[in-house]
Amino acid sequence: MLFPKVGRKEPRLRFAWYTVVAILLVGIFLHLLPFYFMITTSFKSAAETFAIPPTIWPENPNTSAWEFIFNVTTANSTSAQVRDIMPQPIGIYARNSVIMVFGALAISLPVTAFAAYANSKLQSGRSARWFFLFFIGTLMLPGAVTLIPSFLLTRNFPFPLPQTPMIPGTENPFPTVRIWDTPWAVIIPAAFNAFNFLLFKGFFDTIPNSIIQAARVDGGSEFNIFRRIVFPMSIPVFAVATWFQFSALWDSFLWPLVVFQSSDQIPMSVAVYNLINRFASAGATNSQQAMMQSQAMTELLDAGIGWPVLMVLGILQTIPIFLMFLVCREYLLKGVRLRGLR
Amino acid sequence: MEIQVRNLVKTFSSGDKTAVNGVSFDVHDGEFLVLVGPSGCGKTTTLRLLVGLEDVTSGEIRFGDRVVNEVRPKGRNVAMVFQDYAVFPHLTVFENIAYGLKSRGGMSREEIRTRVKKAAEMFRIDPLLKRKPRQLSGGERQRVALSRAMVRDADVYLFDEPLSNLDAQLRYDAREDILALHHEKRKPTVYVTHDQSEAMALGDRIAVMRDGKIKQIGTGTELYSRPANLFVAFFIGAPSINLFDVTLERDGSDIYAKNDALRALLPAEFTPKLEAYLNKPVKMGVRPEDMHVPKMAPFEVTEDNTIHATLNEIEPTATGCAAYLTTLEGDLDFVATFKLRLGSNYLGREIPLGMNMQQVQLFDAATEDSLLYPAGS
Amino acid sequence: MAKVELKNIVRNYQAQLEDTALIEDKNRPALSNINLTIAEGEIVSVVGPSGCGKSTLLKVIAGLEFPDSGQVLYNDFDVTHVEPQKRGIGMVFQDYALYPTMKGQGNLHYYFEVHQRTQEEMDQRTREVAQIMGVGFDQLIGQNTTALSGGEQQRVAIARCIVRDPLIFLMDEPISNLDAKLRERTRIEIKRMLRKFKVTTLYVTHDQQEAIFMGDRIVVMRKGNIEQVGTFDELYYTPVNLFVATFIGSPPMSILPVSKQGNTLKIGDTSLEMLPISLEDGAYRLGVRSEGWELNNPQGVMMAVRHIERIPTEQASFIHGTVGGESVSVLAPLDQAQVSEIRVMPKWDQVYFFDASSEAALHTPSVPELF
Repeated sequence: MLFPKVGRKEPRLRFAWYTVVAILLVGIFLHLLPFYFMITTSFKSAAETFAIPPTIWPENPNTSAWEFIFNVTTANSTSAQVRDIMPQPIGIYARNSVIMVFGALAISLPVTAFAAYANSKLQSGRSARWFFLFFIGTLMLPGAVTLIPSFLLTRNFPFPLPQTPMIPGTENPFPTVRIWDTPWAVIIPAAFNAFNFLLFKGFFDTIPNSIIQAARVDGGSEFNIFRRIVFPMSIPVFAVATWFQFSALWDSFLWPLVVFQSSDQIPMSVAVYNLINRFASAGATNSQQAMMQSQAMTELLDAGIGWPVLMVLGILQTIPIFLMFLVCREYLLKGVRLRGLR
Repeated sequence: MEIQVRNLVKTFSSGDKTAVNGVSFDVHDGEFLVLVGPSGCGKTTTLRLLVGLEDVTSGEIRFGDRVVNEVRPKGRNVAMVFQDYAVFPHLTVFENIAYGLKSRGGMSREEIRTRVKKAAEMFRIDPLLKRKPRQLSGGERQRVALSRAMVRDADVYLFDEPLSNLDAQLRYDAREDILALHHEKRKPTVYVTHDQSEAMALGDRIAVMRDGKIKQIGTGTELYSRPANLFVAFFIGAPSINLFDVTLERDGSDIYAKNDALRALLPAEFTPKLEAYLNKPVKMGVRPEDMHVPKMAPFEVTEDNTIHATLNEIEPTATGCAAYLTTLEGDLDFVATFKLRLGSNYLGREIPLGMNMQQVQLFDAATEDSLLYPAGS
Repeated sequence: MAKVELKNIVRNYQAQLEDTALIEDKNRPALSNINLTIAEGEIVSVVGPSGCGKSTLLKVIAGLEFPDSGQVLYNDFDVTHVEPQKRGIGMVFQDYALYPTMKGQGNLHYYFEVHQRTQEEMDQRTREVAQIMGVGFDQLIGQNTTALSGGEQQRVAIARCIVRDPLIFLMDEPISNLDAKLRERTRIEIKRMLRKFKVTTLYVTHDQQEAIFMGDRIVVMRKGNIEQVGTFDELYYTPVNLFVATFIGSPPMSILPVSKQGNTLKIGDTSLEMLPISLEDGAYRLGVRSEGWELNNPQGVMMAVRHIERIPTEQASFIHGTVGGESVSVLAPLDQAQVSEIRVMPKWDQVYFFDASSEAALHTPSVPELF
């Protein structure tokens, strides 16, 4: 115990206690600093953002950046320039994000939870262990290794091959489904989440077998037992799993970048990236590139998109995660209260 | 060295629960004190305060002449045996037993080895020294925990319900092992249990606790024969004492305890203590072993000490049987134990039983204090 | 109400790392060749040390585990592979196994909901059960089960078992997790209830006192086998082997290696005159219960006293010590003086003889006639 309950008055312990508190406070401050900066910048004028040293508080707080975004959202958009840069209103991108994330959650949570429940309670012995290791093993594959096969899968589902193979003995290719450039390309790979599987299985293991047995003796079918007894007990775990997966999916970037092409399919995260990329890419290696970059930047500035606007976009991207956290926390606490703290 | 506890109070920070509410007791040098009581009475919390795993809200704990409230467990030099044995699963039995010695330092490897072997031999686990805990049975793990306490030179030995996880069968041997440990070390020992028969078998003195307070401290015989209150009388002894609501009425120079089922003459020597309680609600306690079949009673059975009841259930015991009865009048349930076996042909019959009035207990129905042996007498 | 029969049940361990069984035990079946018949309305206790297979036996009868071979019959109907949902049984678990997200009431109602019974039937049965369980039960089931104490949770668990009017009651150490005093009280309540319902009951426990109290007959198990089935008197006075003899009775029976020569018995260095019995001369193991010793007999054998345990409720004390290195416990009067050694003589009409190497019981006192 770092801070035992007894003997707290010893000077050595007190010193340690205060030091730890001080370090934690510094950590919290540093952690919150970017958020603070993001919010204050969204209320600055575009020029002020380039000031050196950066100002801590906007000189003339104004909501021009916010208004800009909302005008664009409501699609009575202004210049051709803006439409050129951001082909769709913000609302479309937001909609895509929502479809992607909620679709994935709606499928992933039941599938993963059922798999974990089966592995924990319905299987036993060696087969249970092997399945568990198999599923957890998938966590060990780096995303970079599976990226290309997964991409090919989305083009010729269910074959991870560049060309659909022929049905042996005929001239016809196998029937395939092309899920590339549709929300399914994100939803299907997310349908089973190995990390959540670990979380659920760990939790279901703590449910005493006797409760399940009592329910079986009472006459409940396995599905009924899960629905009426196990699920209400697991609300905290579902809350945690939901939140983790939500924030991972909402912010996911590389995979949507790879599988979406049409501008009306990309989610918010990719759209914001594209924008920032055009606005402020780093590392020009020759003068031509540098010129192109400064040209892009000027275009954007002329269209009215500066750092404040980008900050607003960033805030909008972050808010859903924060809201989801609040919602999940409620369920988490409610579940903990129900179970009692033993 | 003596342990002195004065007015110990422990309130948990959630505020609503005072687990220990003004507990005071002494443990003399070499004494084996048992804290016994139902779940939630504060006995385990008191023990944890003695170890130093919880901080004291108010009150004082002294080991000898040293106040140890603020001293951390390591500095108090106590050895503790836990209910679930707290055996480290990743270490062998040898390493488990040696753990306390190694972590305190200052002992050569040779000396550690000798001590561990000696302790293991004492508890008959020396063939198991190389095994891991998951290869041991519950009883063997318990003996590892005892060896771990044995090997230390602690000033105080503490036990937290060490036998409750054992099969009833193994408890006998384990009790002997604990007593052997105590005889070897002869240090003040505090032992917590919820089982009163264990308390009576092991303790030099016993403290009965309830709701954070000590209801009575004394030897087993004192608690059994002269309980200071109803709770102690009920808690000590199995099967529990039978309690009857009665009123005391005077008849000439005699006092009788009366209710629907009985009218019993109380011994003359009790009269002075009972005068103040005439016509007040009183509870009378008669122990099951003080109920006798009239033919076999060691005293004269008359109507003045008889109770009439129907026999509902007979439970055979090794030395006789326990009978579960209901009185004819007033429908009161009670238990009687006999040194003979009643055949099942008696079930459902009405039988008279003689009560040994010399051993009877009387309590104020409201305060639950004993009328005959009040605290401090 | 049902008659239960088990025929040649064998059940192997499902290899799980978290088994509490010792490594040696993994090579034997959890249940080997179990044959048992329980009559209609009978209460049978199953008792034995940890790992003997008693809980597995209960689960096989319930259908929570299926045997690897053998048959389970309810009223002569083969239910060996019928799932527990369809067996119409009631079960009480050691850790109560109440559904934590439902109130006490919900726990009782679950059965009816799953079997699509009517609301009226559910309410009526709940009312009946509340009456049986006694005063205050209505408030109890209105609360969340996690807010109840151990004893209260146990009562709800028992109510859940009886609310459905089952064919068989199965109880798996239901009161082991309660305080000693609460156990005493609850024991009586459960027995009273079982007598009233006259339902076939199987009661598993590791506490022999409980087993003796509850059961009309007692089954003693060890390492997956049934050692003996019988009433308390049969097990106590005529055990079939050493294990049953030392398991039933507390303090446990003392076992001493002896050799017999005619009518003389040699214990260590002491020779004792004994009554004639029909056994060959040779080496045996003598079993003597604590009440089977006579104290202070000058011809007796010397016992080194370790410790005297006084038990006021039994009006007696036990002298614990050793005779020739073997643990012995002797019943003595409550006011027995503190001594360091004492001479004791076995009462020859109460002794047991066991084979010197196997566990077979060769001579046992018969059940005593009281009248």
